[in-house]
Amino acid sequence: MESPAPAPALSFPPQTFQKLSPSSYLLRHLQATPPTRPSGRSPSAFREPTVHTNSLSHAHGSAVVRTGDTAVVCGVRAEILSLKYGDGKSQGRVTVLRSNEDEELMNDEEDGGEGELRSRNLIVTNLELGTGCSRDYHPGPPSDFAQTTTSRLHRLILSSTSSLISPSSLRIIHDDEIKAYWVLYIDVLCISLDGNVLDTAWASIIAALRSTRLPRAFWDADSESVLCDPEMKLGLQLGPLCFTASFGVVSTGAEEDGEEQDGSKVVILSDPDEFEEGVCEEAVMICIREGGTIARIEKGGGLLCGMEGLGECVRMARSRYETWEKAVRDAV
Amino acid sequence: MTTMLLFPGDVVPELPTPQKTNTALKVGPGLTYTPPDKVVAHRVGELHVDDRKCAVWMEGNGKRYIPSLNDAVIATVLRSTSDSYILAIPSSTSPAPASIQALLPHLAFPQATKKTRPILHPGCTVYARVSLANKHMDPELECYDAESQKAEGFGELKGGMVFNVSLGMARRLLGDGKKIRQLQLRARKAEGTEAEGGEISNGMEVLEELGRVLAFEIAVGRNGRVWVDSEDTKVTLCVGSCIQKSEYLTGDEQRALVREALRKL
Amino acid sequence: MVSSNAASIGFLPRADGSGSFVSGRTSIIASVTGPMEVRIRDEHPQKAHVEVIVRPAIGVTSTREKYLEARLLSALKPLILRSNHPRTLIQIVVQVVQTAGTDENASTTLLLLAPAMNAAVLALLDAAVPLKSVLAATTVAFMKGSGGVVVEPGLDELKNSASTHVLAFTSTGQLGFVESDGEFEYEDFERVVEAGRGVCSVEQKGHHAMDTEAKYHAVGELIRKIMSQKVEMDMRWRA
Repeated sequence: MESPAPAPALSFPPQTFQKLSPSSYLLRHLQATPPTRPSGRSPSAFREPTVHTNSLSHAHGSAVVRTGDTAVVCGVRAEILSLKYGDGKSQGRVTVLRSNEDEELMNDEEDGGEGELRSRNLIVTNLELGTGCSRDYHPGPPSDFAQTTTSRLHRLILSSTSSLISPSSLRIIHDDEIKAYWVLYIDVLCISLDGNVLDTAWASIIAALRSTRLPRAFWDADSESVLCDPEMKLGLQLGPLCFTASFGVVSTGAEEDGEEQDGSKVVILSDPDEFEEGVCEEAVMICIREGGTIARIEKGGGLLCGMEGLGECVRMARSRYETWEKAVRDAV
Repeated sequence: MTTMLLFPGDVVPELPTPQKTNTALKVGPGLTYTPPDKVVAHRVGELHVDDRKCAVWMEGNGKRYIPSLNDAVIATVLRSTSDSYILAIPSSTSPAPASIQALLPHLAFPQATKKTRPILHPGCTVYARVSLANKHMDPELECYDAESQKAEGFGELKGGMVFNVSLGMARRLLGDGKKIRQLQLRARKAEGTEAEGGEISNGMEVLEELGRVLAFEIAVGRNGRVWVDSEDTKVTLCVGSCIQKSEYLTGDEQRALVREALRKL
Repeated sequence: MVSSNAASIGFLPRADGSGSFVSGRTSIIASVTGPMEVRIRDEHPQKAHVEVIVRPAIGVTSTREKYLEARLLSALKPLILRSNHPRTLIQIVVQVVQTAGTDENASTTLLLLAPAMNAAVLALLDAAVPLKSVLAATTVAFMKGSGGVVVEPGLDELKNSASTHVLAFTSTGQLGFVESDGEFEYEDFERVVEAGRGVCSVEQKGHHAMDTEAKYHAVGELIRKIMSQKVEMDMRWRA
């Protein structure tokens, strides 16, 4: 009789371990000294960006931005919104106002601030995930993730206090009267997704807007229409720049929704890739504006990152601003 | 006797110490035990501590029923497979199709064999005991008492009507209120304030009062369903509506409600 | 000026739990159903799947609602003890009843977040879904120039603010959720967080705070008050 073959030892390659228990796989990496992420980066290291502009010949402005394996293309196209069928500000559309609020809304219009950009929808943002850009890609209508990211990008452009794009550069004026507007269609296509699409998409929008050249448009009184001068191209007036930095937060003690154990440490992972985003439930996003002030903080998904953690994130986001700013400046 | 209100995340301040060495602390619903000695609430409710039984639990109310071992429930037959019935355990709010599904083996009836098992048709109402409850598995039911091998009231409920009550009310109708009452009386005795504080109700005065006058059959499921049957439909409806109305009533108010209802009957 | 807050629970008979929260002109109701059967696609072997659906006051769901859903989910998901009910679905539906402003601008959306979160937390508490802690959310504005901090600002105050912050705290004072917009320094943010933490505290502040019929209720106090009323009502039979 043959003796039964010895049972194989229970061991498997790292890839299998990663699939079986993603959370422990990441934690084992972070518990090493020095802590290293599965990608080989240290926890606080961001991926180096590369930026190219004006790659699309038919767009008014465009940029290709890549960080690691996340790559996006952004195209800016401008179209003219004619106010021909209603001159001035109020004619040609119906506004329903609640009592006491008519003044507020009117003021918004008068200010010529972001109210104008918003009420006339002068900026249209869209993010699309390219077919096969990631493992989780499903064909069909835009996923919740794409819609949420679109909304976040749109919110960043039309920040409540100061706008990135000044409405004056979108107006087409004749004799102190607004005859038409430029409408900017900002389309971001993600061709490869390896986590943190927001930072990359946002940088691509900034780079594309900076590279945008619009033909000079003027009102022709004889034909009563807007004409463009193809010879003269003008850039957009952009407000203070800002760049985002995203972080994932994970605790070395908690495994699979367990309680936090003693001696566990909270680790902040800069610029998380797709695998890390799947494991870290908690996410922090900081947007830093020119001059080092904060434009936006978003945090959610967990209770690990307290005030010290946020302070740390802000510091890292400031240095990340420099990197992005230099990369975009060099490219445009 | 002071009762204590806890919110999710609140730590139970004082745990009962086991009086005998071999009794372990029993942690009841609404609480999560974290080793070595921390018990944390995970929903809003009143904290109850029973020193004699060395148990802590949260008394609260809800609508969604989560099966737990040995609970008597009223379920509805959905369909039959080759060896078991598939039943729905409805909660007090949910309609039967949208509720938890449970398995009732064909042989889980007293003295049942392949040939003598009772035939249940889809739509039947069944009074059963939860014989398996585990968050990772579908619950299982049985229609006999494990010790005596007899029906003990379990089985198909023929005729009658089913009424919805909250989970807390269902527990009180099964006599859980009496235990809380006893606990409080004991606490008062310990504090030497027996005379003060007035009477404590047990929450099922409505049933006691109705039972004194009317003849009816009743089965209470911990999933917030009450089945009532009697010779006269009027009586069935009267009992059902009295029970539903006494949800937020004190013992005296319940008695008054029943008296009023009986007068009208 | 602080806007008045109001809340209630348990008003939807068919849902497992329901909560409403009114802050100033913003009014939200939320319902919770579950744990219930989950779609195979969303099934998780170890945890409950949590879903948030936001329905707008007027019109159909747009990217704005998707955005609110994602933000609310990120605030509420870590609160729920999801491993207690594996392979189930806990569904939270948030219905906007009234918004502060008529148009869909950013400040209106920002003013929706905190009340929506509070309504959802009340509904979760009402449904007795196992939670790690209680979350209370508030909006804080940092004013232009003066540098004053205004808790629960109205739309007019938002217009004159340098930055707006939606913050949520657990009952132990941990910062659970942040959404800040505007232009500010980190030091300003620290002041704003301290102001928010004070309002959101669920700790019982002695009996006088509970008894006074004050017009204004801080969020944390209000949640405590509403929930203790519910327990009192549920235990009324004993009297």
